[in-house]
Amino acid sequence: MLLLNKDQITSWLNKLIPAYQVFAPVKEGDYFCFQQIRSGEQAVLNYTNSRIPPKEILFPRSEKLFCYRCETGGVQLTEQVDESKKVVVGVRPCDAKSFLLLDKVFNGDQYVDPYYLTRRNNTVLVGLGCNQPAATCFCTSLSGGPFSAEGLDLLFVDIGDQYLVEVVTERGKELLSGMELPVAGQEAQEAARAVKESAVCSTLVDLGGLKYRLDVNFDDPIWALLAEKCLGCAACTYTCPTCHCFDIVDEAAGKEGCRIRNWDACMFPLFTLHGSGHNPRPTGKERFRQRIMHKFKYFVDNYGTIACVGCGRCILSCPVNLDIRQVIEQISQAGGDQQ
Amino acid sequence: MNANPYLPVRAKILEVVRQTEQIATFQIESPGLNPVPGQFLEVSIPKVGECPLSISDFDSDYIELTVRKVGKVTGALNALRKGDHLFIRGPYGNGFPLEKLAGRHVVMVLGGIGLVPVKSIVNRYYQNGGVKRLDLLVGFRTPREVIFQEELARWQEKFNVVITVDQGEPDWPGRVGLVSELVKEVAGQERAVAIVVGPPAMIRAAAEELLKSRVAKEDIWVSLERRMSCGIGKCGHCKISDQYVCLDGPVFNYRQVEKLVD
Repeated sequence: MLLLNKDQITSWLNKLIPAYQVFAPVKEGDYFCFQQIRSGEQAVLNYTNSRIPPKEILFPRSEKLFCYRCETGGVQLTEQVDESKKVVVGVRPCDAKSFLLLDKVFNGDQYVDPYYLTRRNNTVLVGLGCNQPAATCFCTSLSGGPFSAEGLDLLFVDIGDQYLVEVVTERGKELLSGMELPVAGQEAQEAARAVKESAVCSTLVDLGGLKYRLDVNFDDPIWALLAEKCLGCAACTYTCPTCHCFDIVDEAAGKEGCRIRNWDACMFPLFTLHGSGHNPRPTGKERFRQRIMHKFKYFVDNYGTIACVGCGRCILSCPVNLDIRQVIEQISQAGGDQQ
Repeated sequence: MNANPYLPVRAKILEVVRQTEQIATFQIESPGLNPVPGQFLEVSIPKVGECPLSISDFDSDYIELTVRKVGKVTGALNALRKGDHLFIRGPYGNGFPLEKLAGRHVVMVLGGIGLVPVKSIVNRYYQNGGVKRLDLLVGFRTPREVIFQEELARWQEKFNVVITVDQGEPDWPGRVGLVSELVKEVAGQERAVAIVVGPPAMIRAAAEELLKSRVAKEDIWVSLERRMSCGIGKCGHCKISDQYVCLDGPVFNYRQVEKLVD
């Protein structure tokens, strides 16, 4: 464990910027978002979390798969895989964990997604522990934690004027080369321990019985009840660090065009609409159920883990105050005796 | 890094056969694809878009697609002519388990363009044999929507081909009524294996009739249709329960289909 003075952050980032695309939280209006910074001063590390997760650095909301030019003799395709080296600074542990979940989908057994995976392999994640988890945070209910280093290369713990730096991987260690940081002494380690102890996620969500319920409650009236409130705006999916659905479209003008993928969401009726006009998920009930089922049942069936990291963004972004923690509780309790 | 699965290859259209006003068959050159009957391709036209299309037939040097004009890409595709090019990637999906059909009494219950993914199978049985008996039950909405008329006529030489339409016309010589109603006429005498392809309501009705005729659930194979984007299990569109129709399907055993609800 090393020590990094907060006043060294700017110069450290400036040192990284020529060698990497450096992404960090920056203030945009009332919110924070991850952006590529041109100067270390732009990074704001005393933030709660970004409105849109850093997922978008590896899986942008809109990205070109390839571009083409249509000539009389044929069509020239140009692949658009981004091979640049990146560092993301200030990643919260919940978001770091989300990359491990996204890996399961994009780095599949049969097919690998080269766009995501190339970026993933070229990206170093520098985490920032959460001294004061927000009221909407519930990572500890999902085997995460405000100081979990899972999925990170470095983890910074804010102990006042300094960060205690936990070196998690070799890649993380390389980022600090030439810094000659002092090893954290007992005092700093004590301070870090105190910070970690005082960081408490105020909500604990009981997920113990949820999967058992979801295995059997597909036709439960609870779905219609829960979906009644939902507007189907999909803000929850756009701010979710584990949602990964997308749509592929062509955008073109004149002879040139690109095939592009854009984030898509299971909350939209068009998501499943067939060419024939048939829609297997015709109402909000089926779509709401799909979102919950995918995260808390299907993903578990496929990969053995829940596709939620407890970041609380969907709670913050929901225009009708649908709170995933309450939804989980309601589902778990509905018909709970039948277990 | 593996080859980029999203990059399509260019393929020339060798032949176009108009089936109906809305449906056409495109024979395109095959860049060494070796599909299994029942698999599909992601087909695209630059500046228009991409969509999944079932392979209706193939040989070592060509792939045949039979497409109904329903949207943007299929609409643009419908306007293409011999000598034009389109882009393809694939083949994707699992295809039909032909080993389960070998030597058996096979009943196919097909709705309209549901005939498309099995055409290559029927053609192979027609040429080389391989099944004990084949009942091909095909339903179309109207006589004008009958596709593969030549093939259906040819297949009648060797197989029991029954064509029905939902709405008849005065000069329609064939049957009128739901294709699922024909099942009881052919299944039941011996242990049959069934293939069902068509719209959801037809699949349900056909499966019910097959079960009534004592066809075992594990002997019913269904090809499902879903909206898809990527074809490779990433984009999430075709996910039903813990299955991706594009990867784990599109062909599922009825025992699985029963559980695939959304």
